[in-house]
Amino acid sequence: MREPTYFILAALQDEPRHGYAIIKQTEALSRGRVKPATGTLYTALDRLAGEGFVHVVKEEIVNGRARRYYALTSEGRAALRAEAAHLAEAARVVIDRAPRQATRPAAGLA
Amino acid sequence: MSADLERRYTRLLHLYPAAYRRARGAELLETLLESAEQGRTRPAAREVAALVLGALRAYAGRDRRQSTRLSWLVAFRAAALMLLVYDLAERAVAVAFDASYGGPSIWTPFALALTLVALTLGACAVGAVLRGRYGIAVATATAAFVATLVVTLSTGDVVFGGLWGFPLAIALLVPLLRHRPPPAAGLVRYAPVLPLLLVLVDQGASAVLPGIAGILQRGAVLALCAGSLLWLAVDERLAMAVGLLVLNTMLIQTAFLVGGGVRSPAGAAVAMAITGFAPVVLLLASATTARRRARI
Repeated sequence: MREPTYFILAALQDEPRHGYAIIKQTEALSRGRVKPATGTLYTALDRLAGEGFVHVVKEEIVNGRARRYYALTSEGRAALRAEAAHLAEAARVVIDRAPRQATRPAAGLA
Repeated sequence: MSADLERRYTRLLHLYPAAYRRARGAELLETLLESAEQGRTRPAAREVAALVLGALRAYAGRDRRQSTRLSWLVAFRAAALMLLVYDLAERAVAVAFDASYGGPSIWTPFALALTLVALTLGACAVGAVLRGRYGIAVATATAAFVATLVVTLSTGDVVFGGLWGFPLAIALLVPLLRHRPPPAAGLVRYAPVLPLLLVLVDQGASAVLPGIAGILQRGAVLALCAGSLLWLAVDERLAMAVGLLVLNTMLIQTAFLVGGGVRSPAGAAVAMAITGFAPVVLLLASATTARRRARI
């Protein structure tokens, strides 16, 4: 899963959100690393809806324009959790070993 | 929120296909205006770039995820069509020139009749690919190629005799017999028009600027390759198809080198490196892009 996709899905894990709210939440969760432009966000939402990962749950009219709220489907939630577990496992490989390696003398110097 | 900004974003949204705009235009505009900083009157450069790219992807039919395998199958069909169309157009122009020349024909009546049969069979192959009848396409393209081989043997003219793009086109169509790609959609379905432009430049340059015709012809091929590389940002399948199209030039060159005997291995290696550079770059870049895009 690509990083922007991961954070867009993560932005929807607590509650349904509309376009701008997804952009803000994505930026907050990624600590500013991922801030999708509007065109990019909607291309991603189309792709995710095509995969069955997100769906529209509510529509309202604000300032005379449509505002749609997107939510994760059960498949989307499962994919997000699987990716999170995969990333955590990958991170553990480094984080769990780092302190031990730091205290061990380099080979050939002992 | 300024009225100027809203007007400018509304104008930009007209880049999207009408159906997409009807479904999503108002929602996109709402998000664009909400995202804009206070007091802004002109669209942000990154938003403009994303909208242009999004619109091009919507037209190209690349707003959905596609597996790498499916991208290659679509590219195989496009490349096969391009190879068939290029050879047919080139041969048809040669026949038309010969007929309008007024002097004695370069072909015997038998060779000319067989060339016309090959052209008809080739046109049937193109029609069959467009209709998704890949079995008929393989059969008619093979028959057309065999007919031109007979012409080549009877005239002894390797350059003007054969439809040398047909073997690779047939090889690309064979996998489609078992793994059918979805019906052609998006801009990639117009890819077979590109070889017609190449033939047009080729003929136009020879007629109008014969002194630099060779440079213009190579320039047109290079422009096609460069354009396909730029188009990678939108749709990698065109670069795959163009890579396969120009790969045929390398295969023909290899056949000539093998058939004619290699006098200078160094010279042959340089010739192969020059001919092989464009297809290798196109195929590697497009394969990498397809793999990346196949990820969700």
